Amino acid sequence: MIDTTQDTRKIVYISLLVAMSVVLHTLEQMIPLPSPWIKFGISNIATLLALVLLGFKEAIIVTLLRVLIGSILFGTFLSPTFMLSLMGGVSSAIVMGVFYKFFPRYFSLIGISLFGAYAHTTVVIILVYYFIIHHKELFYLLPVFLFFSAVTGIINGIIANKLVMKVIEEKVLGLNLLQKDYY
Amino acid sequence: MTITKGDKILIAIVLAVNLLSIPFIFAVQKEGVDVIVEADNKLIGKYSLKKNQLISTLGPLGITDIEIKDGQVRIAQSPCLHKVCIKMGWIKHSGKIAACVPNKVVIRVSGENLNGMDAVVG
Repeated sequence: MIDTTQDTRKIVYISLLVAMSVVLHTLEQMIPLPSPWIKFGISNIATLLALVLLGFKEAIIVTLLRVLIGSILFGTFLSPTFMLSLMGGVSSAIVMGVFYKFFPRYFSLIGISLFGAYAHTTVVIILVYYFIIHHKELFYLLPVFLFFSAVTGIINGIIANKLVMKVIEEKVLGLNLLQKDYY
Repeated sequence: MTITKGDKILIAIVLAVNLLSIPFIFAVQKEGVDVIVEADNKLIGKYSLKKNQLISTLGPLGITDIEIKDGQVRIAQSPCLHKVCIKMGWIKHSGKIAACVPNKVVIRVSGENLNGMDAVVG
């Protein structure tokens, strides 16, 4: 019985995080930015929350569902944009998962988010280079993109830190769902 | 969860690397001479930036119009959904790229200063 309640809770939390992620993803598309190449990546906050509160597998699930639902909403399903979003999202989730698992005491979510943002940007640029724009000049722009992704990554990390603190203080989640070596 | 020492060190390293890479970015910002137009990974042509003209290129989605004016170039019209390429605006420095990804049209400015770069055609 306890196991089924736990499973149901987990599914509910995953759905909530996916919903939050999709909404943030949608909002992000509406914010006007000087360059179309720069995105805030705020939907990554949901992935971070899933990683810390639920686990690595759940973080990947949240990312996959966010990319899938987001692409269906915007009509970009299976388009190059979707592929970039998918590969970038999954690779950043994997990198964040690895850093969270192996260096939990060295970095808070700010560092983890920064690594995720860098992974996302780098993977997307490499894919764009190999599949769309075959010009080495593209890599001259990499420092610019990495700089902006560092800034947004740090901001997302700060927000995620605060949210995780709040979730623990308010005891929203059953604490047994939390990773053991957290804090 | 609060900011840790590791975070601060990481942020410092990242900012330092970024600051160091700034001169590197500006080093390649030289005025372009020609614009190279490619559609569907094929070379369409090389046009001088000195001559004002309108070039129409055919991609998988339809016709993309490229405008050259006063040493600058931009994608003026494209049949894509988000019009990201048009929003990229005018480019003039050598090595700069504007691309309509859905229509697979890439324009890039080349200059005589970037030796060897012109040989890179995908």
